[in-house]
Amino acid sequence: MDYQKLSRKAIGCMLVNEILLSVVLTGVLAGAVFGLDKIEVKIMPVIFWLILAFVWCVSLAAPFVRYERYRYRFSEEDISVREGFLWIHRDIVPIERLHKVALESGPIDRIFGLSKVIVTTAGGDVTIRFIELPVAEQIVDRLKKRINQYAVSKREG
Amino acid sequence: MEGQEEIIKMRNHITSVIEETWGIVLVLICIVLGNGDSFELGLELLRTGNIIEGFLAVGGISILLLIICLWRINRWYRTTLTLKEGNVIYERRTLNRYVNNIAVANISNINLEQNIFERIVGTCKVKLDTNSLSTANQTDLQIVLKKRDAERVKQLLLQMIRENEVTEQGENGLYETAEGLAENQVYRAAGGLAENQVHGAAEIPAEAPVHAAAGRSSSVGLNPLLENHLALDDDRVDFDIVYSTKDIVKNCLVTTYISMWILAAVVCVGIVLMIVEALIEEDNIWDVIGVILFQIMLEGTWLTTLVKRGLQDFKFRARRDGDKIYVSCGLLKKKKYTVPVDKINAVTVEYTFLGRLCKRGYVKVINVGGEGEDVDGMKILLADSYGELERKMKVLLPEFDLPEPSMLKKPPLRVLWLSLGKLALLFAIVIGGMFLGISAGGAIFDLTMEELTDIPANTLLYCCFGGLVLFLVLAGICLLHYLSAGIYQGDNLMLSRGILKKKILTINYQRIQYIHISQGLAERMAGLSRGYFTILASAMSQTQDIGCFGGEEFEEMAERFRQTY
Repeated sequence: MDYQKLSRKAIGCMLVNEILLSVVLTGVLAGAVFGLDKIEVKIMPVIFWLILAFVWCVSLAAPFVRYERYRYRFSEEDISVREGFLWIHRDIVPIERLHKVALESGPIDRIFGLSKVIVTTAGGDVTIRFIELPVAEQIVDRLKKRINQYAVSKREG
Repeated sequence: MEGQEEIIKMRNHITSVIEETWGIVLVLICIVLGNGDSFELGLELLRTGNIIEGFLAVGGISILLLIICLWRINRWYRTTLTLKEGNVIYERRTLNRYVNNIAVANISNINLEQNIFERIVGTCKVKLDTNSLSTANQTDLQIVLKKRDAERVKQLLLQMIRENEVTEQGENGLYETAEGLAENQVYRAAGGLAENQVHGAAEIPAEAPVHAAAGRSSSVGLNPLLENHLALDDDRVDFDIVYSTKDIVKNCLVTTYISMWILAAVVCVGIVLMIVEALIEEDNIWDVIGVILFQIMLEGTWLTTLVKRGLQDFKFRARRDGDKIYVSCGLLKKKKYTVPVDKINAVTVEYTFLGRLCKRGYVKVINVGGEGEDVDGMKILLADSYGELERKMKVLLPEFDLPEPSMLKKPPLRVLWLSLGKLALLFAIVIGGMFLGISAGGAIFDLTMEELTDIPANTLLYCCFGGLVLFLVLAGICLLHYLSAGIYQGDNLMLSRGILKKKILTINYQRIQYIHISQGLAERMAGLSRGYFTILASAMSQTQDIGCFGGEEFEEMAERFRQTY
């Protein structure tokens, strides 16, 4: 089974997340600069603008790079996810090791009609994000059936 | 016998109440003894007719003591452990009712422990651990019984586990695989626990009643090998691996961390210097003795740790029987633990720094459960030469081969260059940050750069030298890390890692839960990857770092992992 790309809505969702984070970071930096300005520190504004520019450039560029890189695959045997911006991460999870499958949607995910599938093994969780809700529901159903098949075949020995 | 069920119910031994409360009671008694005045005041108040105040002053602590003791006794009475239908049910019916049902099939460890108090009163703690990840760092269930009964309960549980495994092989398996047993042979409960026996302080009769396990017809007799294991005393049992006192002392010395030896050396020198100084300066002999005793107390901490470590491995013995490993060790705190082989997720050979110099490592197994020093693995072999470890592993755990050191493939050299490069970049950022900080400080305090940097040349030199030393130390650590790393991919995955200590992990690919691989920008440019995998184990051992290797190693690992499902 081939790797799947994310829906284009994922770019919007990632962008909103990054912008929100950048706004918070800008607020924190601005607060620090404002406080230091009171004691007439002249060099800080330059650093402030440099850091701010860097943060916003990364925030605006990252979603596009992440979207191009993000790939996932739900085969009959395993789940494989590949994603990242500066660091590229890859997870390989066999379906027979799964204990639990969950579907979650945050507020921003819901705006874009997306959700995340969280699979749990005895060694921890793996999350596959930015999947369209109908697709995610199909995936979860398939996973549940597959897990049950594994459980039955194990019992039958 | 068909359909007959046996329920075996137990309570903690009554002495467990004393063991749990003696600390609090002692503290309260000390408070009472230290506040004799309040007693006199209380008596005075009672004489003058202030009953409530007087009673509180005199009896407040006593009432508290009484409440604590009664509460503990109530808790003891309402806490039971029941073996029923292949389940172990732990129930506490106090204000918060708590019932824990554990299927026998999920038990990963059965340990017996005796501390000094328990050895004096003749009791023993039975500890059960399961495959549950939520309780991976703690013991799931424990109960204190008389030593004889603890051994019997352990054997009964082992028998139940064995029956459960035989049943899973199919109905016929129940009759065919039990060695040389006829149908309808009566099954005797290991160790004489009577039907519906609620164990308090009463002795358990020695005669074993007839017992039908889990509603099936009585058909399984005792495995003749298991008969031997009903022996209550280790001296009556043959162990496959036995260590002499000399081996145990060597193990104790070699497995002590280098930092402790350095600390001991520093403290010894300190003691000598302090004593000499006291002898020269102090006039009073008692002051000199006081200094000496104080110093000995400091040194004693280290010595106590060394002795404790030696004592915990005292009379260390191990044997393999069927699909279980039995280990017995300890002097002050006797431990006996049983590890089902099929629950072992990984095996590690560990070397301390001294161990690497002396070429002596020890072996631990990783499974779920355990607490304290066992949370990161249970020791099954003490420190020994590699050849001896190999030989003993073939006896104890042939399922896991120890790798030949030459089999382990080193990571490519660019891994070392990458880590040194990252270190250099980090130093550059730190120095740059310091420079910016100095500039900011100059702006804050309205000083020019020349005034700020008007630091004596010596100070600057020392700072630079210190920075260089730090860089060299960290670079040395990177080098040691690189030299300790290694990987071998065969039927099992073998990984070597460490800095001063070294650990070689052996794991079957089937035991891996999932694999995570990552590449930073630098790794991508160098064609490297790093990652980790997770296994079913306690929090300390759950995530196992693979390290940094060539991308092709990770592809091979992913491929071999895929072949297991």
